Amino acid sequence: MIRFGLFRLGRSGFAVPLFQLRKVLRDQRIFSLPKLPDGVIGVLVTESLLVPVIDPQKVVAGASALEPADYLVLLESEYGTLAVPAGLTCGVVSEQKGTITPGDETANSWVTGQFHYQDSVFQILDIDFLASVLAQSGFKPEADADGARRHQ
Amino acid sequence: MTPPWGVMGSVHLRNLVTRIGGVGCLLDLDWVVEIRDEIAELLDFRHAEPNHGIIAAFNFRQTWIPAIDPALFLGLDSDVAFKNKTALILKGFEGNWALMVDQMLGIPPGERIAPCEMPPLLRTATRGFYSRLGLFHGEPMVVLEPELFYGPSVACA
Repeated sequence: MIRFGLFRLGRSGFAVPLFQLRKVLRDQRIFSLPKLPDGVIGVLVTESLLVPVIDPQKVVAGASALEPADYLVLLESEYGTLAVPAGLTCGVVSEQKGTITPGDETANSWVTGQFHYQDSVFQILDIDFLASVLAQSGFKPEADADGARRHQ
Repeated sequence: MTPPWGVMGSVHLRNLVTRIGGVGCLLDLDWVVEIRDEIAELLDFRHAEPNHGIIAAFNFRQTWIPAIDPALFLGLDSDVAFKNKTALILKGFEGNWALMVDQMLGIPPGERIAPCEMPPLLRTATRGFYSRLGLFHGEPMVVLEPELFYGPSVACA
C-alpha cells in the first residue's frame, strides 16, 4: 500500500510517495548561490544541511510557473535531498482513499500518474527523474570545463 | 602555494567574510596582502583585458597590478559600482593582484564558521567555479578559490 504526501502550489496539486517525503518546513529562508542549475531557485539550510530548492516546471520544461509559497517540502531522491515549494500542504493519504490513473509519458516525464482524491487531481511526481535532470544540468565534457578556466 | 583550505571539507581558522552580488563569500586570510577601499583614484580602466577577466589595472604601491571582478566569473549581478568596491590585494603565482568585492563583513572567529557539504545535485553545475561552502550565522557562504579567478597563464596588465 502506497501512501502519498499531498501539497499544492498555485492551482496545481502534487503527490509524492511518503517514503520520499522527509519533512515540511514553513517560512524558511532561501539563499542564492552562484551558478545554480536552471530550475534551482536557491538553497535552504536545515540542520546544517544545504538543500537545493527547485521549481519542477522549470527543471523539465524550462518555463516557470512558480507562485508564492509558504512551505517547502523536503524530498529524498537518489541524488540527495531536494525541496519543492508548496503554498498549501494537504496531509498524507493512502492510495486506497483515491484512484490512480497512469501519466502521459509524452507530456510530462516527471509525472508518473495522477492521484484522484476528493474531487481533486494531484500529479504524482517522479522525484528521482527530476533529480537526475538536475544532477546532469551544467554537465560539460572535460574540454569545455577547461574552457571555463580559459575564460579567466 | 599551499592550498589555503588544506584538508577537503575543513574550514580554515582565519577567514575574511565578504559579499559579492548579494552572496556571502569566505576567503582564507593567508591569501591577503592588504585590503583597500576608496579606490576610485587607483584604477585605470584603459588596461582592461576582459578576455582574461581583468577589468582594470590597480595602482598598488606604485605598481600596476590586475584587478579581477569575481562577480563576472561567478555570474553574479552586483549593484556596487566598480570604483566603490573594496580591493583585496592577494598573493599570486606571478605577483600581487586585486580581487574586487562589494562589501567586507569582517573576520569572525574560526569556530563561528562551520563546514558545509556541497549538495550532490549542485556539484556538476558549480564545478570549475567553486567547490566548497561554509555556514556563517546560518547563511551558506561560497569559499572563494582565487586560483580559479586568476592563474599563472593570465598576463598582467
